[in-house]
Amino acid sequence: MKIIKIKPLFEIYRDGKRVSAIYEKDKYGNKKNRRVIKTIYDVEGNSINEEISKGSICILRSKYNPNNPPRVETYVHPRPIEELFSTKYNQYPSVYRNKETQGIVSSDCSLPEDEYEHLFTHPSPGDFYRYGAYVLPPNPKVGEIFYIENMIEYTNTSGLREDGTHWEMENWEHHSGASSIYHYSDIEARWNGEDLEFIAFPVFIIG
Amino acid sequence: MYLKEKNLYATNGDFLKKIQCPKSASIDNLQPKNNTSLNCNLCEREVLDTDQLSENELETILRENPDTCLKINLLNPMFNQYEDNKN
Repeated sequence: MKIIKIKPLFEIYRDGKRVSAIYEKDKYGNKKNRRVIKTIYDVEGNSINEEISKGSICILRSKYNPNNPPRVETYVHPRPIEELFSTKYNQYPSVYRNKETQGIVSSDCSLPEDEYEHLFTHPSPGDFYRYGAYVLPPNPKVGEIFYIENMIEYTNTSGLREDGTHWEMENWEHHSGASSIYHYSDIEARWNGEDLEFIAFPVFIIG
Repeated sequence: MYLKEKNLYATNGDFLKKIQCPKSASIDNLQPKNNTSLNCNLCEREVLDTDQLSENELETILRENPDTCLKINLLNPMFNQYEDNKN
């Protein structure tokens, strides 16, 4: 038997009560020996363009922080990525308290010290990047299911079960006062010819 | 608090309850009632949303009433989980 730990990646507390969080689950693993999708992060897009020049299909994704709605940008290639605005931040993500309103905010970059008190900065190097890209293995077939070992984006919206039906992971509005975002470290995904559809692992039990 | 084969235990090992719905309710059967609970449209019972409870709150509730219905998010770090390690 092994214990499965859920790691808090990023939490925001207000008046001692947790109001928002991102959690990361331990890796599920490539249990079905799928072909593996490589994940790359870079600042200038050079690594991504190098993969594209080799003929690989690259799918660009962005992370998002808990105070903003999901932002997912997808580019299907081959074509080079130009003017990729990805910044390597010294502090990302960071959480601040507004000194006047006492409101808690998260930010990708440093906020002015006279207005905001810095509470903490997430230390994970992987979170220093706004963007990453999934690189598909050669000759992907439409409908083929792959294993993504290192998932880029945080997800709280919906997913696709293996039988093709959709599930809703969280109701964003319902949790607006105490939201939680759950981050799969790894996941399976189906290639539909234009994009990757995540196949979620079971999340809820009722009883 | 930890889950083992759908049985929920307190951190000290006390059995709290089995997470098993006789009507096989799913998330689609639940409608938000308030910030901490949901209504189940299969049996009209209230289901507690454990995402909105602390571990101490939930343990107290279950020790008083083990038949309380729960919605458990397996990604909630409050619930340590065990699985077979075949390696």
